[in-house]
Amino acid sequence: MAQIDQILNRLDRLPAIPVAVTQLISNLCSSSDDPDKESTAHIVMRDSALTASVLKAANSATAGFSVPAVCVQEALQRVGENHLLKIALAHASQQALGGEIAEYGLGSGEAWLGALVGALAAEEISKYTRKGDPNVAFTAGLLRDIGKLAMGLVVDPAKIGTLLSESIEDITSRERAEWGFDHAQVGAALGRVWGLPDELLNGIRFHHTPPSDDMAEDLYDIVHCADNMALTLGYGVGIDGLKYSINLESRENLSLNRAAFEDILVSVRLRMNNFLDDTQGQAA
Amino acid sequence: MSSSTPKGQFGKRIVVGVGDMQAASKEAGIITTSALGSCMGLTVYDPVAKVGGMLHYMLVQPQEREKARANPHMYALSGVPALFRAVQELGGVRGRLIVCAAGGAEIMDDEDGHSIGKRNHSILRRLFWKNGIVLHAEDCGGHAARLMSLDLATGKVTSTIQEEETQLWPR
Repeated sequence: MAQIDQILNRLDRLPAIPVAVTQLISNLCSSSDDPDKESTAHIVMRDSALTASVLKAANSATAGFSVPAVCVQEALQRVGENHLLKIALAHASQQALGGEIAEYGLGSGEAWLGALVGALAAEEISKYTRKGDPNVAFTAGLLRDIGKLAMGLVVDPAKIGTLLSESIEDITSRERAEWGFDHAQVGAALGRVWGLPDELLNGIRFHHTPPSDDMAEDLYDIVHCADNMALTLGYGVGIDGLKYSINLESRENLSLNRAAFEDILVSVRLRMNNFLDDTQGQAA
Repeated sequence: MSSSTPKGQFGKRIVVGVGDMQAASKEAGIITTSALGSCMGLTVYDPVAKVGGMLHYMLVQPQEREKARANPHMYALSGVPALFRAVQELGGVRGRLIVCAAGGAEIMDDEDGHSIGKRNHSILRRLFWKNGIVLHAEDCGGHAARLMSLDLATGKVTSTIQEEETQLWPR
């Protein structure tokens, strides 16, 4: 990991994250009585696009009010802070994740859709299994693949596509064999630059290879299984395809049998359209 | 997966999302799937009536029957008959239907019986065998995500992995 940190530190430019995203993450993942916490309404109101998105969500048909909400505080009361934070976070993260990632064969918006499905899946798994914190799981699921944003900066971008398309084995193993690190480790290093908390950094780092030793945490198993679900549904899949290994121990740790896995897959799909509609008015 | 999607001769395109189904006549242009991971894309087309449809199902069947009633196109056992019915309601004749399939990819090392892609593929073969339906062409399995398209004017069916297009029909 130190090697990646050194490489990232030498770079003139790195993928950026909007300030609103880190503030929203902090609010979503910290306890509600944290005295240093800025109010969610204030964070949202500083960004006009974010405000519009939040008002749209609060005024959508699913919210069920006849008189429209006209301010963020009113929107907060209607949809609840937890849901509003997720909508705002998903919307704000589009700036970082919404572009094309050519090296991985991901067109505009595709990585972000994959991120969103991973976020919803992680939250659903956490709720279903009653393990981990659903809000932290949502956030880790959303950010799990940020390493793909930076891979083209830390290694020769022309070689990434070739490696991904020619690999007949697990992509993370190939990346590590070729470069000494994989995109999940790069993601964790980038997250450190962004100032993300350690819990999320590890969720990102272990999303393909959850540890089974004393480093093991429910969150890592949850994000790994959420990633499996996004791949299964075909969201955020590029040149790498579905060439990632499943850690069967993660499913065992979470007691996620086939029926449960499929139930959650359906829940995620059903939530996806509503969530997208709330976030930006687009259907999957 | 990044790939430019063609439009039909009328310049129109319908995208069939995950767990959805669409049927239409030639004026509707081209029907395409969103990316198929372990899901299956199934097309049915009558070259005489020039009507057809596409199903993008996720799973074989639900744990509880009510779920199939609420979301029939998510599942093979309810979605496949629905697709055939929809195309026949548009004037398609069962004996003329060209049937193609794509998708059913797998994550690696999925050995504990989840194998959604494999099960999605094999249920289709079983369903067709049981009902005497010919599967004219398919591009299934492996570890790559695909896009599938059906041109309603010509009946051309393609399966695309990244930029590499395979024509499934006509062969």
